Amino acid sequence: MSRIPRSAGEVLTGNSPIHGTAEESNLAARFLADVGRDVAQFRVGLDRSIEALETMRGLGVDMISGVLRERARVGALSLDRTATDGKAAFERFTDEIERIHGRAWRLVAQVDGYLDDIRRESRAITEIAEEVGVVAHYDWRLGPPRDLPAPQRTGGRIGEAETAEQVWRLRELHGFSWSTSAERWAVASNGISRLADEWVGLADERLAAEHALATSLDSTAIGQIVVAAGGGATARRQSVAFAISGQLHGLSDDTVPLERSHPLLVRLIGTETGAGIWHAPPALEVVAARWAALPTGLQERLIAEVPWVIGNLAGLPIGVRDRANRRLMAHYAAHHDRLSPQSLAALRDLTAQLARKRVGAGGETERPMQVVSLDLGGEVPMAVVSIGDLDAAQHATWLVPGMLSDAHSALTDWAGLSRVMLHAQRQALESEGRGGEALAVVAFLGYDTPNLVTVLGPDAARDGARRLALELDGAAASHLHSGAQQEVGVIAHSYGTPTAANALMLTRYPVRSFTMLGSAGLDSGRVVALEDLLVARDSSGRPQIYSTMAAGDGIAPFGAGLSGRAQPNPESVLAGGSAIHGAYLFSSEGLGVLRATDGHSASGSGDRGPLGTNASSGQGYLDFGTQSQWNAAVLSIGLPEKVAGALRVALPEPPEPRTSEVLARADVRIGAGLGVAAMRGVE
Amino acid sequence: MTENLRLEEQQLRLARASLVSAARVMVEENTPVPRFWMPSISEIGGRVRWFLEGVGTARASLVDAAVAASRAAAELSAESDDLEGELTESFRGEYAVAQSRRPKS
Repeated sequence: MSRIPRSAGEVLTGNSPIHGTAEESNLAARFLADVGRDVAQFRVGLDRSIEALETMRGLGVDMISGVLRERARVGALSLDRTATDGKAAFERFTDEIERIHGRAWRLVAQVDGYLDDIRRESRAITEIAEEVGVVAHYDWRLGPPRDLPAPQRTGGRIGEAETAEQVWRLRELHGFSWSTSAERWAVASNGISRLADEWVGLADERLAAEHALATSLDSTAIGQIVVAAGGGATARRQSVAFAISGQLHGLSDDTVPLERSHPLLVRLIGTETGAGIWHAPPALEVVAARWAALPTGLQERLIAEVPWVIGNLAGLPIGVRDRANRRLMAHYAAHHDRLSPQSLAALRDLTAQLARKRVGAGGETERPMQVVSLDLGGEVPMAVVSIGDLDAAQHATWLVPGMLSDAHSALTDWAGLSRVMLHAQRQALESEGRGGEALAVVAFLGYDTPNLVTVLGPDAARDGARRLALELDGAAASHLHSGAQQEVGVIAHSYGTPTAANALMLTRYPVRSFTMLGSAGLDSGRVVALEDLLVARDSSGRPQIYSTMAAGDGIAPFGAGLSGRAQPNPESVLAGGSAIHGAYLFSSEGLGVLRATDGHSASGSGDRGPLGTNASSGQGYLDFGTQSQWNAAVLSIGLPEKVAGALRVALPEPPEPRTSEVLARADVRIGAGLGVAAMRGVE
Repeated sequence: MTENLRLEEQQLRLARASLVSAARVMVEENTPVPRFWMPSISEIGGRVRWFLEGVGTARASLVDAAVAASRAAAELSAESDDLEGELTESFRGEYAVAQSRRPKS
């Protein structure tokens, strides 16, 4: 007989759904209820005070009532909502935990009961086995056979007939008891299996409850401020205090983080107002140099006092912009009431991304996430995030999404795609013995992506390109100034391809490669020849521009044709459409273990849509494990030899570059990096 | 003019008294910030704890803001009153938001 487990604890393995008690959650809910009551009364007193002050006139009272109105009242409202929403979240969690724990404990008792049954039946089986002379070694999970095994008792001098009769008698005597015990054993064993499955399900439910709680807390104003602050307790305390009340330990924070003017900005951008930096900053190299020359104290003031400007100013180190943008996040969090529903959603998703545990797709520790750019004040929220330290990365990859990918609807997806892109790149580098090289993957959600109507026009791509070009050149200028080496790959999907291509017409620093996935066609009004894009050349003198179109993608060729844009995959041009030649083409139909892309999506979900409007789950262009994603990954880090399948060029051959200016811009070879020689035309 | 001044003193006092009472509500008979580390499968204990501490800090910072505003309003007043005494008694001149502890040497 195999050893029967002593208790349910030995049987119910894996994650336990029982952790702590609901009392912790109750305690939190009670605390938040108390805060909610207090802050409601506080707001009454505050309003009464503001009302009294506003009956008077004078600089002093105006200042006091202004601070109370603009900071304390807004902060109190944020705290009130946080307490209400947080309390509700903990109460839901408490209910869930009590339900899960209750069921889990009952389940443990049931398993213990079944184990008792098995022990009892095991004893009965053992006794019968001894009586009938059979060896009874049964696995406790499988139990004995339903029928009594043939009795082995035979008498030495007893005759065969007599033995047969004895066997018959033993069967008559013990057969029913044996079968009954065996049946009970089987029932108990099956019961345990069923309960073990239920145990796993309860653990999943517990995980879901925890996730829901964490998400709810991170969606509150205080939750968002805390996550944006990151770091240690002091940083969190400072962020919360300044965002909620505008002061800490007697120090006032009179700044308005959305302010776009500051006297000190003159020393950085040559003017006090930074309102125009989104599309028209000063020369990026000048910005980089001036920032580096500023005393630390002044840098800190600018980060603290005009974070919108610093957070979005191309040319500054990304670590600096990240700090400013996190301060901006704290401000947005404290002013939920002033954000559009889209911006609120973007802030919520950005917070959730920043709060993620730092574990990557392969279980390895993930690089920190940086908020490269952030603007939640406009009609369309803008956010650019980097997985990995973009300042330190030797290989930076910019992902440019297409239609319907504004920050509020696409941030989570594209942050996820950035993570798996980094994971694939890491695998490729490790296979080359270069696992130590630093990587960063950026999700560029910094433009107003088109909708189903505007996708046919060029405006969104042209507008987005201006900003993308600034971001690419800004990062390059910052690296050039610091002396750090960084190679840049751009990967664009669908309508992101005309956006990125237009940007590469505007940039002044070369990127190493440009990869187009399911291109919706390039803007012929901007890009006449791929040679015009500022992309490094390979040893044959051809720009390192790559493209793929899945056979199952019925949307991109259609979109390119309908809009009159030039398709970089000449074989995918529909009747009446035009092609733009010169890109290296690769397959995304799957090869070996690498899956095919079967629809237009960057990230597939569910089943494939009609005509490939949607790729099925795991089979989007940028889903991990697809041929398309792998090839994009290796091309972006300069490993074309690791492309799965072949790289080929569709005829006709691309024309020669047409102007000396173009020649000057594109005179870059593989490995030239960001050396001065590679930057002709840069002043 | 005198009547106006008297009215303003009354309004100032009302404003200050409202702030003091608002601040008091936030510090008296409080449920303290829970200090547990919530056991969990997905290790959300840190996030929960930071959130609750953040709420505690937010509450305390509003107290500090109200006290500071009340003191600023007192400086505008020509008359002295007993509110400063109340403030001193209730808040002992310290800040409600905890100050960082110095590392032990």
